[in-house]
Amino acid sequence: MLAASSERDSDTHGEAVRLDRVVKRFGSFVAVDDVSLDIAPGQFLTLLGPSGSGKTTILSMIAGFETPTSGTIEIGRRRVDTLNPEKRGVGLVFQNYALFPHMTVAQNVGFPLRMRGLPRREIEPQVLRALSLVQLADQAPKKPAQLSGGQQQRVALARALVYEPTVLLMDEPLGALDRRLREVVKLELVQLHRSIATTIIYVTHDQDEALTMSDRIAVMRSGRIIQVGTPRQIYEQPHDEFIAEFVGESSLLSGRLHEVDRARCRIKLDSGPIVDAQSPRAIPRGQPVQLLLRPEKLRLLAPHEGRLDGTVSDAIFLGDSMRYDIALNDGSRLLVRQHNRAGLRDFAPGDLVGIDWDAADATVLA
Amino acid sequence: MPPHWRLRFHPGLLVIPALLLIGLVFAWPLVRLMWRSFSEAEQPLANFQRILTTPLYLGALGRTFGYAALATLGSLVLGYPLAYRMRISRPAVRTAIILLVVIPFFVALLVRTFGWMIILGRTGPISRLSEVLTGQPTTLLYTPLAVQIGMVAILLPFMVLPLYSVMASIDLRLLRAARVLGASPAAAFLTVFLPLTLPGILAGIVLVFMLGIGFFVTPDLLGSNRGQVFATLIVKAQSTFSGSSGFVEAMAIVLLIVTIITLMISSRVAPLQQVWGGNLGEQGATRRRQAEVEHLPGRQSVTGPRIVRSLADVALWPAIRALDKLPNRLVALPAWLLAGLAIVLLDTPILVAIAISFGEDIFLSFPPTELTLRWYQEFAQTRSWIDALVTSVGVGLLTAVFTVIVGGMAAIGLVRAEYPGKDVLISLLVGPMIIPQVITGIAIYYVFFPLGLVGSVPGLVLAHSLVALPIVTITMAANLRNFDVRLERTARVLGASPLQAFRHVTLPIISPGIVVAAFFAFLTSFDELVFSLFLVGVRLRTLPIRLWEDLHFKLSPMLAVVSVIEIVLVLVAVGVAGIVTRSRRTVD
Ligand SMILES: Nc1ncnc2c1ncn2[C@@H]1O[C@H](COP(=O)(O)OP(=O)(O)O)[C@@H](O)[C@H]1O
Ligand SMILES: [Mg+2]
Repeated sequence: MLAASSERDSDTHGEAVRLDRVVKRFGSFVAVDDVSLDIAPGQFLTLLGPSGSGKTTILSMIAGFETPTSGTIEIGRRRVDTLNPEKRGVGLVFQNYALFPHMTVAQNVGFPLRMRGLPRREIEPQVLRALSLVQLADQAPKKPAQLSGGQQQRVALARALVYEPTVLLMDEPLGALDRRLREVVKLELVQLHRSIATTIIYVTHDQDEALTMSDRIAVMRSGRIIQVGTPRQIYEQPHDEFIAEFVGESSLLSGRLHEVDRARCRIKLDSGPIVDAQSPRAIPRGQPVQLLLRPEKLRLLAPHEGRLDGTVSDAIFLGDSMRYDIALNDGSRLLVRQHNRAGLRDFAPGDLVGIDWDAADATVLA
Repeated sequence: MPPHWRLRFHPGLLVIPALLLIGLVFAWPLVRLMWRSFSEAEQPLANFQRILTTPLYLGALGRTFGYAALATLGSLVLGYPLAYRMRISRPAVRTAIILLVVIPFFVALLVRTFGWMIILGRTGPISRLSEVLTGQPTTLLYTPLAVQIGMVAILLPFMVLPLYSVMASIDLRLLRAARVLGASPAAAFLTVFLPLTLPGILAGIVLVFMLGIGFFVTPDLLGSNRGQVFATLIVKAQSTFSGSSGFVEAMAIVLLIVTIITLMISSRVAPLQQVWGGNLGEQGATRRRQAEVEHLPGRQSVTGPRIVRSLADVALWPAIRALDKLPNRLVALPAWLLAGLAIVLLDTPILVAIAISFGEDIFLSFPPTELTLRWYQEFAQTRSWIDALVTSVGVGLLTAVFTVIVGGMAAIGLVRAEYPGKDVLISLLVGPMIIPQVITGIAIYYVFFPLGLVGSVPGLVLAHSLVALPIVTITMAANLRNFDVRLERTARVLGASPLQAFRHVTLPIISPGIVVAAFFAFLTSFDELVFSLFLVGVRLRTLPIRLWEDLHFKLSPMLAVVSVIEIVLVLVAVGVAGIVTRSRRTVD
């Protein structure tokens, strides 16, 4: 994925976006707290965080609806933080699309071109091109209210793209769609990004969207960015428990660092056993740590054959996999997900099991 | 098994009492009025001939249109910026502005007109200011300008409220979307916000114009004897013409026809159902709106016909470009000023009336020089005022009880049942709000007089109920519609009979709405002047009638005392409504 995005850099239309020590206060409340972020031209960056963490506020500052209390925002090396929204030339897709209800689809998409003073005859072909990009050319004469949710979403997208903005902002654009449609549009957005190569700043609280679409993810919490990285980094080497819990399913076991050997280390769990793990960061010996175990990285074996032993307390058939809830002997719990594949044994509640993993798949959180 | 016959009660039947009231006190009198205008004359069309050939009447008709048109324009110019301010203000500011609009809306017309008589009069603030500046006092009172100012001020809420209700439904993010797509503030306003408020503008225009046509209290009190409007002539004729030639009836019919023609023209452009029905027919209306949207391409209900749109394009772009050249503040300033002026027009008469009631000066100078409670004492000691107060309170309470029952049943019948002809029913229900009260008042008089109902409390209660019924029904219907029917169904599943479910689940939940509706009904009756003018007879006096008589006879501070009583009542009502709706919101 990284490779793909660096290849694209040469022919990208995107511009870099830079936030430097941006703070936004509403009265005494700090909605955005000292956020710095460098987004490369053409990159797909996702702001991921629970609701209220300040994502929309950041987007609003980039779009120009809010001015930062302090700090600077640059788009393509140009300071924009005092510029009016209409002068910034960014595209924005709102969560509820904000389509103008009194205009047809074509008028909606043509609106930004009209505002730029383009003559009518130039507007029409561009509108059609933008609508074909989202496969809606035949809906041009309709009013937004006559379209389905998914179609409205595409109109909003076409309207945001028709003037070829160098930066496209999207605020939870899939939030109003049902799950099946969300899956489809998600993939379409990735392809769209590949073909137009605009810088995209995408806001969501949905980890699936963030993981599938982004080049980079910035995880937010209470107005701060607490980790920036590729989806893989965020998933496999989260900086803390909050991120681990927020992105993907996880089990955490507490223990202390027992032995370190470069990235490899051994953890003495509070329940007794000593297990292998990998640590992305240097941690002093004896420090209390959490061991992060992702469910799909665990294997269930016969008792005493794995690193830990436990009892199956619940087993759920999910179609593509089985999800087991395992109670360890000291009372802590582990989630295990096992692919539904011939040759793998099914367990039932009450079964005693051993649990095993590759040392490289267990991450230490400090 | 023998066949089981069971009559099922249809909730639609609950509208029958309301229909009876409207039929007997509204529809039938109007039919009679029409009949009399022909039948009482020597030849059927004689009366109409006389009206349409006498310069006095034609002049009055022209004046009526002129005043109504200018009042409409004035309230649009002032009301739009005010409604816009309301929409974009912070919630606290918005609530304050809403109160500043709603309180005058509920304060009686007479009280506000009284305030204007003082402001515009010889000893009023304007006259005094001019005395200081030019050495000459200026009396605007009894001039056409006074009438025009008073009409704009009094009709303003009818413009602001529909505008605001449309604006409130507009998602402000649309403006943000327009901005980020490249529109300047002016362009975003003119291309997105303004077109979306068009239905509200049309509704406001129709409402204010229609009310303006039937207006007579304010023109009569603020204008000169020579510059009378048509409605005033009807009232004067009714009290002076003795004998029956059908002439007064014919005058009323002329005004009625004018009203109906205006209504028919405006129904082509404005969403009338929204104007008067509130959300009464909402379920039907929403469905219709959807249907409209579904086969839309031909119908451009919001953007208007193609010609209008291309005209708009021609005018729009130069306007946007011109506005964009000016600094934003300079564009916003006039809007601020107009909104401020609107608030001044709405609220100063009320403040003036309050101040006068505490002033020593018998000539009602404003501002008062010395403060006193003398007029309150005098009011309490004057038999006739106290009698009028008691009558008004009594009639108001009876009207409230009666309309809450009748209107409540009607609301259930409208919300809880589907049947053909509901739209017609709704139009009938709001009819008394549309037809100028002067016309209906005269019509009722001719029906009530032979029945001995003129000069009687039951007669007044019936007539007042006619005015209060639409308001009560609309309020209660809105309440019922917000009520989650699933709660009632749950009660049924849990073993309650339909009646039990209604009594133990529905009623407690909608009761705050009933309280609010009862307050509206009481206030409506307490303020009612026009019907009362025709129906009080020689002995019975309500507070507005006493006020009206004194306003013609001599201005005294006692009038201000009555105004304060009225204002306090309105404040209590608005307060209760506020508390009730707030507590309901927290329950949600
Ligand atoms: N205009 C505003 N005034 C006051 N508080 C605000 C305003 N806008 C946002 N906030 C607060 O800032 C915080 C972050 O909001 P937001 O950026 O919308 O979060 P997110 O988009 O991540 O859900 C929230 O607690 C919200 O209440
Ligand atoms: Mg948000």
